[in-house]
Amino acid sequence: MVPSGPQTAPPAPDPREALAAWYLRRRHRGVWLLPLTAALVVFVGLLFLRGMAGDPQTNLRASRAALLALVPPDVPTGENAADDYALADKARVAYVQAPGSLHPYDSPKADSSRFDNPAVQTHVANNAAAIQHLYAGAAKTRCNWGVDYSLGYARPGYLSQQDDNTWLLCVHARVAAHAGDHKAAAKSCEASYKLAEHVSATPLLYCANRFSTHVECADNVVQSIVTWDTPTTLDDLAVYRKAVRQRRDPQAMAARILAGDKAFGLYTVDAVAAGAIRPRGLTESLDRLAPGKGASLLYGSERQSLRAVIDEMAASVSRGEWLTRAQARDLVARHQTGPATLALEAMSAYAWNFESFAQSEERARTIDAGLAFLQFRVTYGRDAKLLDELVPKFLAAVPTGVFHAAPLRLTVDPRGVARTDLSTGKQSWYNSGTIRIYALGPNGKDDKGYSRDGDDGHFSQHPSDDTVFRVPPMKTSAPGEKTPGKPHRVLPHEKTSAPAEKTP
Amino acid sequence: MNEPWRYPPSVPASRVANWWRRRRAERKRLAYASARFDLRWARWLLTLSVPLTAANFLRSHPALDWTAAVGTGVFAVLLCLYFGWLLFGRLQCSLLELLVLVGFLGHVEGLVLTTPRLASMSPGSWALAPLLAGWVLYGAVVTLAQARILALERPVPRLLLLAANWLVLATPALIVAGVLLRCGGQFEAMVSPDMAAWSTPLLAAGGVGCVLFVWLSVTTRRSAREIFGLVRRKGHSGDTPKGASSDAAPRDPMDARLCPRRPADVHP
Repeated sequence: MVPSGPQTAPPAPDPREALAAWYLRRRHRGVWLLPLTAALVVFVGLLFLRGMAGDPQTNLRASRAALLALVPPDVPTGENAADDYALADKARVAYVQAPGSLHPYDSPKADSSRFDNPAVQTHVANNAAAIQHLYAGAAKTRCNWGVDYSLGYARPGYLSQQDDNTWLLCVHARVAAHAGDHKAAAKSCEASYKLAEHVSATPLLYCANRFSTHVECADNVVQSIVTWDTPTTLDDLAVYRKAVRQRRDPQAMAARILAGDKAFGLYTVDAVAAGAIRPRGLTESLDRLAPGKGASLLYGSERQSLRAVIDEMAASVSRGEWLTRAQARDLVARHQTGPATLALEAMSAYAWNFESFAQSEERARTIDAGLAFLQFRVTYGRDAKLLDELVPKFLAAVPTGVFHAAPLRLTVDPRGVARTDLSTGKQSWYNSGTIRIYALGPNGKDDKGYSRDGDDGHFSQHPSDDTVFRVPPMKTSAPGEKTPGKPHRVLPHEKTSAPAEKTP
Repeated sequence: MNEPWRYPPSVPASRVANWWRRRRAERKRLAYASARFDLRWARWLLTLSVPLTAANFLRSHPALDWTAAVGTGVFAVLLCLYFGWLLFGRLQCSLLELLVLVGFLGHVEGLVLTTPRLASMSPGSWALAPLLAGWVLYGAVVTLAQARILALERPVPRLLLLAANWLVLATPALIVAGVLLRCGGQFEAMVSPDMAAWSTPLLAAGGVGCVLFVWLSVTTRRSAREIFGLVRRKGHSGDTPKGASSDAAPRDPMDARLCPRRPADVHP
């Protein structure tokens, strides 16, 4: 209602009433408290992080100098293996895959019938020039890939090309061995190992990871050749042994990768935080440390923890200690002063890859012992009962494992080796009485020569992790052929999957 | 009947209606009375700029970054203006309080402004300094208001009240930070064990802040309601504001400052 009468004054105000009214009426102030609270939370975070915040511009000068010290010297044109690998890459002819068929690069461990396929044989013949270039590259000792180190931590472009070159050498080795040309097969295997070594010339974890993969692929080819196209002469076995005995030295490799990764990692973190470069590829997550990004204050703690954990891991590697992934996490927690996502990711990757390096060396020892076992068989016409019988004529001493110093062991497996049909997924067992020469692997337990790979029929869900080389028995059987004897043990997962016996 | 300081007459038919009418009248009266003390345009601009600060949580586009920066900056500057004006234009603090105020403000601002890489965090990171200044001034204004309402004169209780109000205003932030550190401890990559250990003191400080908030709110609001005449007394009829006469309030030299006379005091 609008007042129509004369204006009336309010009661004379108590001046304290205004203050009391302002105090009692606080609705607006409740809304203001929301952004104020957010600002105070940021302030509390600031108090935690400000002590370790560094200046990326200052750090960048030192980290750039450390990185540039790693740049390999130039190699004259005729002596650079990378040039031959580039030529091989140009000369390589792609495999023409028939619809529904499997690519031979996907199954280097397949049985030899796969390599009877005319398409595979044609593929190998078409790539003769590329293979010669790969041999020429592998014969050279020096390799400079021309990586631009100033770009920081990024996956080098040559890696995917060398993956294809390795698969080509592996398929060539299988085809040649199946044709009975074990010297050519061994040469391809040796070239694969050498190529893997050249790939790891850039001291980055990416490259070391590809080194492990290439070496494992070549090891699997040697295992498959021994299983399916067993060499039967001492000369053939000797060339395989020579090929496998490439220098692997996991400790030196790990130390080199840690030194390189530290230089690359710190430079990349500094350069991104200073706005000098933009991260690429897998390191794009670093972008949050760039100027103008909300997380740029985290730079100091990320850098500090990364540097500290790499230093401590390098120290443990130099002592010959291999950290597990759980230990690597503890290591990060010990050095963490704030957010340490980079260090945690890196440590997990290091632990996994360093285990691969060590397992690669352990695999080389078991393969060498297995080939020596075959040499004993060819020489004496019987199998050795113990590895000690191979000493000193075929082995200087019984090799030990890498993770644990226990000597390699030998067992005869009445069940044999599993073969999985890739099209149907069904497993069958063959080569009953396979000899397993094995080391204890990372877990240090005697898993009776059973490993994590599919040739033992239980893939990765079983905790067995022995490093094993399987020597076929003197009398082999074809896949699908019923094998005599019973398995020497029943695995836990098979107990549950076995059909229940019918009761009358 | 358009006089907001006057209670509406009771309607015997409905207690709920009576309660609602009385409450609405009280609100109107509070608004009318506090208008003499307040800086209304700044208060409304402050409230309107709050939604813009929400863009800080939507960091998906540079335009949003700048919206957040501008919104937060405007909010922070207005907050300082509003409480600064109330503190220096309407209230009066003692020299000791001014000393403590300036010292605390200098420490907080010094910590923020000397943090390396703060400026590179985001375009709006500079707004943190005025926001914290706003927090300090806010606490000071609330303290002086409470001290006046509670008639606190001695310096030590007033200083303790000042510290308590800064803590009370920071209580939600302390609790949020403590919970984040407690939960963040599960995400080991983001929170170190040393940082996670701070969650307990932060939560404890937040708990103390909650207790102080309740205690100060209850006591000060009761006194404020008594001053304002909102406390029901026995034998009062209820048709007029209770205890709201000018004779009931003691005169004080500060009164003219608290509630200056304006031509608008004559209500249309």
